[in-house]
Amino acid sequence: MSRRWLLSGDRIAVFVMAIAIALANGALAIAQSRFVDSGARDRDFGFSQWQDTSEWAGGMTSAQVPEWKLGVQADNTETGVVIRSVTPGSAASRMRFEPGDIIITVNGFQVGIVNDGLYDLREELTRRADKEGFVSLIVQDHINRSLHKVQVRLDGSQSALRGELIYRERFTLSPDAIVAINLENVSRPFAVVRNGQVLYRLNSSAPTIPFEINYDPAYITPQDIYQVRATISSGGRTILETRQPARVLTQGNPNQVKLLLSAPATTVGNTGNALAGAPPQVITAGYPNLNTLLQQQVAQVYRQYLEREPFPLEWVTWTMTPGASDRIASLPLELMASQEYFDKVGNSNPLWFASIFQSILGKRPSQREVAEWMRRFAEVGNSRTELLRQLYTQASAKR
Amino acid sequence: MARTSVLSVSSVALLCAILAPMTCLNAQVPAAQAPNNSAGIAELYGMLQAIEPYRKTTEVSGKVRVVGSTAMDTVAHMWSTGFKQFHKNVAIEITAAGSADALKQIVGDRKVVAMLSRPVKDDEIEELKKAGVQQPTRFIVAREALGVWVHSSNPLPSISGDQLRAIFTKESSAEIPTWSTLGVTTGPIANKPVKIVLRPETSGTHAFLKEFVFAGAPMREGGQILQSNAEVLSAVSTDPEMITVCGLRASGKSVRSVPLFAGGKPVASDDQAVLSGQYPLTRYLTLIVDMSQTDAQAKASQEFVHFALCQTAQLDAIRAGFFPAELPKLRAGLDQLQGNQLR
Repeated sequence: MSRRWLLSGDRIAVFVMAIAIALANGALAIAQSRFVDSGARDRDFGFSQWQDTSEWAGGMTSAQVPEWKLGVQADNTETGVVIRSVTPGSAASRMRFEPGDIIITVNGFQVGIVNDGLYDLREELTRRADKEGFVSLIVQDHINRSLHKVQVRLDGSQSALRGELIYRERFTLSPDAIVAINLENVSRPFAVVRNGQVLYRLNSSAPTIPFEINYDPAYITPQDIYQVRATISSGGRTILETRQPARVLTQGNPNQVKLLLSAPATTVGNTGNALAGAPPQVITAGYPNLNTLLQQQVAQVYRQYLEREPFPLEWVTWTMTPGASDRIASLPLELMASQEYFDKVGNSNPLWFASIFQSILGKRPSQREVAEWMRRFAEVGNSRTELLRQLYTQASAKR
Repeated sequence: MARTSVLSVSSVALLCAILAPMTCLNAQVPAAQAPNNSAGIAELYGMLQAIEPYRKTTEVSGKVRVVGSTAMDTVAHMWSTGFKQFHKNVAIEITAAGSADALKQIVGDRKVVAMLSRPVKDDEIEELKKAGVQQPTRFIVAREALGVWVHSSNPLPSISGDQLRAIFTKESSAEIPTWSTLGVTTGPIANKPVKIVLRPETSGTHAFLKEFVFAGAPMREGGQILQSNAEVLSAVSTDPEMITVCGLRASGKSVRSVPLFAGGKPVASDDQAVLSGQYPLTRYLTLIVDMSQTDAQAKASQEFVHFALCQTAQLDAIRAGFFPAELPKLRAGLDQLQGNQLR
């Protein structure tokens, strides 16, 4: 249910007051349009739904938005965000916010805990602030409980990685072209940087594309090495990519870079040990950050074990998986452990076991083997993943 | 026994050797079907990017015991592998004993992570407190989407929660509705009664429908009962008068999942609608820990839950056939664990 109209108990009282304030300064129409939803309250599926999909807007904007900060430590409660402390010199301190003050809305949108979900102040500030960093807050004064509508100019984020994408090929980029720019931890690829990925539709055919990544500096470890790379894909193929990712941010590397994009190589060789890691210069296609070889491998494993193509959401998951070329090695076991596979091969433990045995050892299990492995299955707490690992380890040892 | 095995680099190479003949990884493989809808990709990507990546704030060590749902066993193992990349000195033991057992286990050992493939009710939390678990805290860590399935020739445009209730429970009428009352007013099935097929009462899907979607209303008897999603969909594929509710991630030939009428409009049963939370028929998967426990093992358990709420683990949930929890639920979970963030 949308938090714009699911108001209960105390919150309704607060909102009546908020609307009274809005009325006082002539903004009732705005307040009404924000808090009153025209749709009927929908409880027919018996449990909550979230219809305010702006929460998911994340990377969908035409370019990444900078992060804005108020400068408070705060606790989320069901009546709003209660300020615990104020950072000296911050926007909050300039506005004379004090511990105990409660922030109730950001540009009319509730913050804090609503219907068991959290509407985080940091996210709302970033989402609702205008280009200059201005937002309008409704704040309850902790001394006399009065409500105030205040206009605040937030502090901008200083942690930006800026640069330009340059390409020399003569192209007319189609309107559906997607630019993907990734800030990656080279030392520990699994450590994803918050706001370190930008993906947007390109609405320009200029040969130079400025970009900015407003990453979260809390995720940057000075001891680690970072790089940035980019791809432009269109119509299911990657048409431009950085052959040479640029080192950035730490270890004396800059926070401003020029990335040269060029057309990807046109062929993919049979590398023989494809799973062990794709060569860095192979072409990428279709999905950003996922090269053709990996894409073929992922699709092949899904066809092999689930007899279907990966769903779009599964594809996108792979494009976001750090170290995807390593991860794919465990995909066959992951799919064989899945409920979908279990269902597909007959929805019973013995049938499932016979099927994985056949896949891994290339033959049917004997009755004795079935009995022995079913005993082990009970021992490992009926964990399909664990049984697969044991079976696989045994198969490896025999080779 | 501790289950801490991770595929090492050498074992990965071996696995490749074993599986390579089957997966035919060579240049002759036809190119993967490339998606051509970049708008859709960008949207899904944006939705998943909005999930907080994991950041280690303190190193934890010791043993984490995760006990419960068999349906979540696979995803729990993926989380275990991911978590140990950040915390090398943690051993994780996962026992798939069933959701019912999870609540008993946390009473017996208040440092475990209880894992349930369903929502946990307030009265169950109260029961845990009475049994001595001081601060049992629920975290929504993923969702399973359920679909309402019919034969692909069945013209039913969408179905509402009330209609679903009238079909699967005998609350409003002892008579099962006909297809015309659901809006299929022409064609050969219009005047035929709806035929029900469901998975058995012991299945999570059935229990969830009964308890959470229909809130305990008496279920209609006389429908066909089949064991698995695959069998249920196979039955629907042979009979245009049939309807079922089963996993949206299941798939079959000659069947389709119907849009659900919610919020005043039909909501398509697609990935975008489920991710954004507009699609109403989803089952929460839950982890419970006792937040009053403060020793090293309990801290490690709590940190494991923190990891489960973050981006990598949510991507794992997709690989395991589930969907991420809605963003506000994930954030609420992080707030319960960490609180007091600089904003």
